[in-house]
Amino acid sequence: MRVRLTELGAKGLLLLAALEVAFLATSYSNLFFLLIVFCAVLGLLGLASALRSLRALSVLALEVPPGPAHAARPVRLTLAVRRRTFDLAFVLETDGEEIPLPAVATVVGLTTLALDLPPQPRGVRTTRAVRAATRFPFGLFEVRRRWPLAAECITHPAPAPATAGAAQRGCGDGSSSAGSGTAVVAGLRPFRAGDAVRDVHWKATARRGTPIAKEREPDAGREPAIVVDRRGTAAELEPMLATATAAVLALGTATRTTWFRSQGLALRLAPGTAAPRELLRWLATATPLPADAPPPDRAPLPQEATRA
Amino acid sequence: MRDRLLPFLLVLTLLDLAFVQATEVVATAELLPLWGLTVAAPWLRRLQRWLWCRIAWNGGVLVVFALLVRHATTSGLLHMLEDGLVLAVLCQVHLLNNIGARQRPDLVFFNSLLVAFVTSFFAPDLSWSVLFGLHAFALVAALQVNVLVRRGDAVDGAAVRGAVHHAVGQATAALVLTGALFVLLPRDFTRQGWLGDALGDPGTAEAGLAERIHLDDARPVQLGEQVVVRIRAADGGEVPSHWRAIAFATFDGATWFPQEAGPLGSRFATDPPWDRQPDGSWRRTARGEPGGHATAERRFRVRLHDVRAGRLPLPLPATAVHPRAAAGVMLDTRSFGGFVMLTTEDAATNAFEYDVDVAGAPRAVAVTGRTRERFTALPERGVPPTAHALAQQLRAALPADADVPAIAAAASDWLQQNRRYGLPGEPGFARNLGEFLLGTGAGHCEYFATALAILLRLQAVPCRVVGGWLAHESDATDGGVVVRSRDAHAWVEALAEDGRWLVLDATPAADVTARRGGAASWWDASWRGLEDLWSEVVGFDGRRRADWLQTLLALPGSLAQQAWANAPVLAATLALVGLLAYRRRRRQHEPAIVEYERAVRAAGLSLLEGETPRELLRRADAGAIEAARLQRLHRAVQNHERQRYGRPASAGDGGTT
Repeated sequence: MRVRLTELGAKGLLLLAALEVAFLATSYSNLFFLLIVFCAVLGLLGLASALRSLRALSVLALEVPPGPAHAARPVRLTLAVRRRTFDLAFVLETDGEEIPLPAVATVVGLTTLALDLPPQPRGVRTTRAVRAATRFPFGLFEVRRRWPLAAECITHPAPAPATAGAAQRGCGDGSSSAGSGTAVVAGLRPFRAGDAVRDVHWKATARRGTPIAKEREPDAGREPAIVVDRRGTAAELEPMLATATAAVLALGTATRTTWFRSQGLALRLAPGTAAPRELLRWLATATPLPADAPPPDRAPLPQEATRA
Repeated sequence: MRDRLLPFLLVLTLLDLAFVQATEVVATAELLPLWGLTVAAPWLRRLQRWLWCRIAWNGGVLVVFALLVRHATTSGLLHMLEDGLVLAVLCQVHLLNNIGARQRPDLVFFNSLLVAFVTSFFAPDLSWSVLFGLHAFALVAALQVNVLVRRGDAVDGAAVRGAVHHAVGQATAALVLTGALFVLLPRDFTRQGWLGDALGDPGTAEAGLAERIHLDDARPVQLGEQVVVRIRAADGGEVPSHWRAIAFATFDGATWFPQEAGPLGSRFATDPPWDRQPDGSWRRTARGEPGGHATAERRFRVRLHDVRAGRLPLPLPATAVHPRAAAGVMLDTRSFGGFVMLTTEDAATNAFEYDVDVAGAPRAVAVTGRTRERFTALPERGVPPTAHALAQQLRAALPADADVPAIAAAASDWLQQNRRYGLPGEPGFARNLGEFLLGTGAGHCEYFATALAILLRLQAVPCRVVGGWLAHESDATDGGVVVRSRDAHAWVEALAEDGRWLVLDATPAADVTARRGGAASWWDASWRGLEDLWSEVVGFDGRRRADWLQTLLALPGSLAQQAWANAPVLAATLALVGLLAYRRRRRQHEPAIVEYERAVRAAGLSLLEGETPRELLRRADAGAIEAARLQRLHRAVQNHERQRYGRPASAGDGGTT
């Protein structure tokens, strides 16, 4: 555990020093002595109490779920606190960076806290340790304690909102050539955000006065693919990754197997499952390739359905 | 977010005002506006949103500040103190009304401590101690809440209540530790301080017995509260007021020297001698007493709390002394009819008890002419010219054949009625005896006694100044009287023609007792008891520290003895403590249940018979409950299940009990 004097504590120490000087300068007075002792006791008691609080605290587990860049997401900390503890501020220590989490006013018992991780840029960070700090009770000292807990903090690209709806329908990217399924129209339905413009049934829209889209039969014979071609500049890659992320995140509600392909990567994604951590990590770390790099591998795919 | 802190700062500021009020240095009329501004702070601070309000407020503060500084620098030391205290609390009120984004509360905490420090010098009485106890709790609670709100994150009421609950324990621990360190830490109680040495500050003197009376000692006097003697009449009647411990016979114009010359029974004897009896008691009879008539004697039980004072207080007409439990204490007589106490290193006790038999009137003794001359002697220098004129004036007002009692009573009455009582260090205190006799300055008992002795000696009346204790304060504990160190007193004994000493006290009794107080009602008695306790703190010195340490060291043995003697009571107490600890432990182990019950109450629900938390939760979900309270209930149920079963509630689970 490490102890640090806070700003309030430093001011208090100066005051105590001034009082001590005044005490030594004047003749002995019982009450003066009593008050100086009280001030000193208050400081020492505060320190002891803060040390005791953190000694009673154990961080058992740290879970950092993958999350989008530039948006807050909850970090789950499982704590065992033997006695009620106040004013806990947690910090995630990563490689060369410290990420502060919001302070907790009070906590007791075995509990899991969901604390908002501040918005992070796209990437993967490895959390080395969790650090807790408290200034309670008097705010004169800040006591810190560190628990080495490794966790991977994956920050994938923020999903592009326009494509999320289309992807939720289980047909991949909204910009795909055949993203909504087969050419067979099963019926009409109200337009949803993310529907392709070419699926708008203009006549019905004109008749009803509200946007109407064509509902197509699911394409049972083909397995759609999300393809990310990394050749190009970073500025070109980022929107591509955002679109792909939206599609990947929507796979949980997909009804068909989907492929994800890029240079050096080919993953078959089962329908109805969450996006695999490996794929999110790839999205978090993907970098652009030079223009003369080979295109995404097509070999395992029966056919290409999507090109992001 | 500071709104949660504001009530605590408000209490702190109110206590600061109470500290200043307790000093009685600042007029209530001056403090009333500050009381008002403090109480109104929750509303006034809202006005700080507007610029014109801030300008008006800060301008007003600056104007008051300037007026106070001007008043302080032009009105003398006493007003400087008054203005300083007003300024300190004005700062508190100003800060309180500006706490927010622009003003952090740190200064309120520190200033609050400084107010307590400064006022301790001017009101070191019980009221200050009570206020300080409250202040300690308020300060600790405010600091703790400040820590919670300082981070700027949302803090709910439950966390604040928890912090306040925690603060009670912390403040108690701080006060207990402070008390322990106060007793145990070794230190120099007589230290004067380098500033005092550099400035030539005479320091202060504590009221008490002295081996000499120095009239030129102008140090401010501290009236100590520690109990010196407790006296109780065996018949429950009144207790004599003047208990003499030392007599001063020789005056050199500035100092009175003790009457120690010659052993008892010599030709210089001035009082009936004491004879040691076979049973260890002391008795005295009047030598040469005309007629030798006996007067009725009364007995008093005396408990002298400090044998190291070395003097045995006795009334002038004492006829017998019966020491009780005198291990380690030896009495030795002195020529003025008193005793000194000699203690051995292994004196078993710090208190010495004895019985005194007192006759109705002092017994006469044959005093030689040479002795009489000794008690009428005055120095060639040092007697103020005013005294000569005054003595002549007083004598002229009496018949030519006036006897000693008449002359003495006239001089004593005149001083009582025409001269003011005051203590050194107070405004208007006489700088010397001449000023006092002239009436331009007030004086304390030593001035009154000296003035009376000089006036009497100038009229050829033999007399001496006597030092001792004024017993006037009722003791609620045993119906007797209690004498404190502040009751140290000086008076005069004049020798009448018949060889009897007369007690003459020229000090205005009303002034003395008004300053030194006296218990009357049960409330006064209770207050006095607390004051006794507080006086142990204020008058703490090396001797008391040694006593405390001795008591603490003897405590284990004493407790063991008492425990053995009261085994059933001890067993019952231990069982009760164990039960309470067990219950407390159970409560501590189940905080989730406690929080669950609180959340249920907060949601306005009551548990039905046999209803599980989840069933209650479903009922709550179906009802119209405020979202925040419903959320709290959900959290509480989850926590409760996690605590009890190791997993949180999830949808679709069946009810559990």
